[in-house]
Amino acid sequence: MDVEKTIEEYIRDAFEIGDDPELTRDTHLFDEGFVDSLGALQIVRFLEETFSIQITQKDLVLYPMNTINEIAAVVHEKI
Amino acid sequence: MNTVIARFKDTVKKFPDNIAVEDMDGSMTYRELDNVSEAAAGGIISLLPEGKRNVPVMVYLPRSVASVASFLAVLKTGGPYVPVDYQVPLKRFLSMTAKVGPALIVTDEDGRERLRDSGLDWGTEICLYGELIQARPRPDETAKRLDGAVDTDPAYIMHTSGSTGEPKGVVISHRGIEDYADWLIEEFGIDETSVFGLQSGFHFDNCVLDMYGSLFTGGKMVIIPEVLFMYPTKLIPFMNERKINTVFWVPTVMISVANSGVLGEIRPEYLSTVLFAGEVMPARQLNVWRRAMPDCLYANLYGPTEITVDCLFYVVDREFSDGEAIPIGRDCPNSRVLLLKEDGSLAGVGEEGEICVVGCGVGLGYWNEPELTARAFVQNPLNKKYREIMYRTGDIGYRTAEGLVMYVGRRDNQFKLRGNRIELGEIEQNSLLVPGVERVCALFDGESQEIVLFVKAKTELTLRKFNLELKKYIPKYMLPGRLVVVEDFPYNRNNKIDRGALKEIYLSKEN
Amino acid sequence: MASTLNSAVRLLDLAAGRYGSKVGVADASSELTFARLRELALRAGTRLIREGVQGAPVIVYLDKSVNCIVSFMAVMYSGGPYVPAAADIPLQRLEKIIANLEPGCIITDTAKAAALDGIELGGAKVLIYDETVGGEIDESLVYSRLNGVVDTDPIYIMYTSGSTGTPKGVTVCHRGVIDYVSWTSSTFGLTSEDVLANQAPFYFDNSIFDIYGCLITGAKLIIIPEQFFVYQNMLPEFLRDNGVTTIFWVPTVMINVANSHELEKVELPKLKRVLFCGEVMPNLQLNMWRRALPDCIYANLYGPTEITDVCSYYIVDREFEDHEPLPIGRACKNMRLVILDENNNEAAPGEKGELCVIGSGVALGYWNELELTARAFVQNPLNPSYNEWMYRTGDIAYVGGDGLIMYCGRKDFQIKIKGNRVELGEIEAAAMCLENVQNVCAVFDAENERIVLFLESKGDFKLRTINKELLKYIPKYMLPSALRVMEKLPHTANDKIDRKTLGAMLREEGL
Repeated sequence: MDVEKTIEEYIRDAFEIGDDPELTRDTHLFDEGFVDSLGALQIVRFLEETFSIQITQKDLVLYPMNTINEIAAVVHEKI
Repeated sequence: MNTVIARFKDTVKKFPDNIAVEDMDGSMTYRELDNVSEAAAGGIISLLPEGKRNVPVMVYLPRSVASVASFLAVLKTGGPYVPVDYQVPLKRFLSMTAKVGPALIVTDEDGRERLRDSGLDWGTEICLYGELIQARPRPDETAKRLDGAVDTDPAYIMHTSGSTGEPKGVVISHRGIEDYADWLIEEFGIDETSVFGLQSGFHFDNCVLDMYGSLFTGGKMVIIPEVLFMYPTKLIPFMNERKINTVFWVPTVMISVANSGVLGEIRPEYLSTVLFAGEVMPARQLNVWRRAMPDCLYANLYGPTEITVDCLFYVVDREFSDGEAIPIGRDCPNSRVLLLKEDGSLAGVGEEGEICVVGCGVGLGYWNEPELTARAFVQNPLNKKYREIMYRTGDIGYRTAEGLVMYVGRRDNQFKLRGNRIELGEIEQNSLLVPGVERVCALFDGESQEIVLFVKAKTELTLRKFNLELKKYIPKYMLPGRLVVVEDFPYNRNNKIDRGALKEIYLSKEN
Repeated sequence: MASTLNSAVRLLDLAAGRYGSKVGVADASSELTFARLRELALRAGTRLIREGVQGAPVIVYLDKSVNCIVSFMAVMYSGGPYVPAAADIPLQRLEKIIANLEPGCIITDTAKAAALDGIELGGAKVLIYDETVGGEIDESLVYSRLNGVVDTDPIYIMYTSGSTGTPKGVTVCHRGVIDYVSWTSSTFGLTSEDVLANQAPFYFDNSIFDIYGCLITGAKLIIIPEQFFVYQNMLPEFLRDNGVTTIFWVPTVMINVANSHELEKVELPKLKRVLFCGEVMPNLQLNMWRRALPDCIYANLYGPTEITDVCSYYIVDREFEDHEPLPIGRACKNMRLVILDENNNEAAPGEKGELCVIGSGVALGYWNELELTARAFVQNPLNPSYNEWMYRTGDIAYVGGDGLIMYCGRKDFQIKIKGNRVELGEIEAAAMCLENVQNVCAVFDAENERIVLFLESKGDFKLRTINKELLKYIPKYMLPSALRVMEKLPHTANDKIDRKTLGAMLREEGL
């Protein structure tokens, strides 16, 4: 499974971003205003269900999770 | 922590059986003082107007344990106490009362009689201390009132001479007292073994040192009878009998003890801390003390009533030759003293400037005198960034290279006589009330340390008769020591009395 | 070392003396003992004095970390006030702040120092944090400076939204902070065993509770990594894994955590105190917390930055229905709250009026804005007798039947979003800088807790691109969450933009 692709498709769809070219896999999702903090909860839920993983507070302390690539990196660690 | 009563209560808890205050007629332990003041507070509260805060109560009692109990009672009602000199001229008392608007006056039988016999309308309740302390304590009510208090609330109002002829009521906050007391306790090592020998009257703010120095630590305050200060040979044995170890006296008293020679015969054997303030302390007499009592700590303190007693201090740490000036020293912690030149800029080392004070000890102003307040309590002119209230003392001083402030003198017609602040204007305004007087001018002769009053009058006047009349309006310490009747005054170009010329005429007459 | 608490940094001296080897403050990547914190702060403080800051304000422009705390303490050691700036502050806004503040120095890191190259610094020196803590300590230099501080001197300046588009620098004094945290530590019984998890940004005064609450008690402060405020459902786990006992958070975060339902999954046996402040806390979510953690103490705190964080509090002591409002309670110790009606009389119980605050915590004003200061910080209109400064909050409130104060809303156009104070005028001023825009109006849609920006323009705009542009001028929390573009904004008869009509439009949309 292409983790990056799965995450990107979910985010573009769930947050009504469509094919906006300003969103890349290294765009800061929160600072650039694509996703807000309620959206962050949705993303975590999506990741945990889709990839059958647990994301803990320790992951958050250790890794940044602001871009699609960063989120994907955490997922790779877990699967 | 937010009122001085909270601090007093801490002491009551720690040292309930220590003697708090003692006069010639008796004494009270901390527990007794707490109970008595609680009862009196209950009595006062029933006389306070509903729903109003910070209502002042005047206390017109002799220097006694009763005074201290009354002050604490008033503080427990959440309002400021206003100590009134028991010797005050009644007309002056009346004008103070009118301005303060107290809820009541606390006094004793003699005092009440005097007020009644005066035929004056006091416009306020007059209550007996002896009756108030029989009242039912209302601890819930006092607790509620203190709960609603903040440390920027007024704790006392003390009157100083005003140039318009009316005394001014300086308003001091709880915060100011706490800050001051914390400093002196730390700096001079005050604790429950301290025994203060009170010289000051309660209407004079030097007493704040003795009173809160003891009330906050569990120490004892002995109220020394005034008469003993006239007989130094009796004073020292009294101090030994009462084991007094700490004094804060005006230099006049220090000088008279030194000059009496008594220290050569008998020593105040318990005395360890000698503090003085209120006027210039001459090194010659200080040296007499130091030779007799070389192990004592001596400190020169400085400050006007408006900034909570003191803002500068100097612990005497070297020899001074007899003619040398003793510094008024360094800023007390949490006080900042600025020396400002005429143009409002900061004076450099050695340059003279007006002594100005910033910090939480700065008073809340003159009671019911917003204009006078705004003139003396000003925005620090050096600070354009935020609100910073500064008190301008009107005193001139300069700083030495070591950072010590030296006192120079006054910039106006105010001066100090035996520790009392006097405005010549107040003497002049009241002298005009003496029958037959047309115009007056008062001068202070620094040489002879006396007030000289020049009078243009229709009738013959003698100093004794004049003062007898004047005494109705101003306290004894303000009375002139010399009276000069003139046909007319020298005037300057804007038709004001030419004080400079007058001084010259007077001085040349002397010679 | 004098024990006078003339500066809040004395609390660090005391903590380093008592709990030197204990961890005082930690972030994701490092932790400092109290002794180490003091040592680093003394190094940086020495450096600041040698750079010649002379008590001038110092901006701390760093990522949220223990380095900020070190820097704040260092600035206090240098005798001046510190000014926290968010790491993501819009540079245009920082430039405005610098112009108003005239800082002596800016402490930052290398990356941000490069960004500062593009803006006018008005002569402020840029110091790199790592270098300031690398130097030596000159204790006598630091303490001679520190001893000159008085507790009415400013400790920090925090910039809040200003209606004209220029932020206002609220200037708070040491006394206010010392007073406040002595109250918090005794009221909530904090000890050195406690662990606090800091949520508030340092430019937001809720952080004062966290920082100084730890210094005064020796408790440990953990700075929650920023990521957790994006992924807020992870917060309960973070609290559990770090043994956090006490939190003081803004309600928005409390609400999000409640709504995530994580509290039902994560056990928090150590958590004892849940305090919140900054905006209205709905009982719907508070009840979720109370059900999940029934043994915690919950307290609703209230206060504007201008009175040192908090002036009233309510410890939740009964059940509340989900829709009921929570009281803001009673005045904290040493604070007095007065509710004034439109005629400046004290409002009767139950009657609505403006909430006003008196006490040592009242700020010194707005930095370099004496006129604005005089408008908000006034003489208590109920008090003609002496100086008594009162801060008019602009908040409407009333006293309920149980004696508890209830908050009703704002008098003006100020709103709160996620605990941040926002003046709609500041957003409008920023929006006027957009290209192709003729007129603007920002409206707060209270129903949906969001800001809606109305633009008068013929152009085509997208919210996200507009917000990217606005971020140059205003911080993220001020950004609008909805956009409406109109060819012409409605106007009232006297040609003002008709806010009422715009508000009604939004309500209709919602139906």
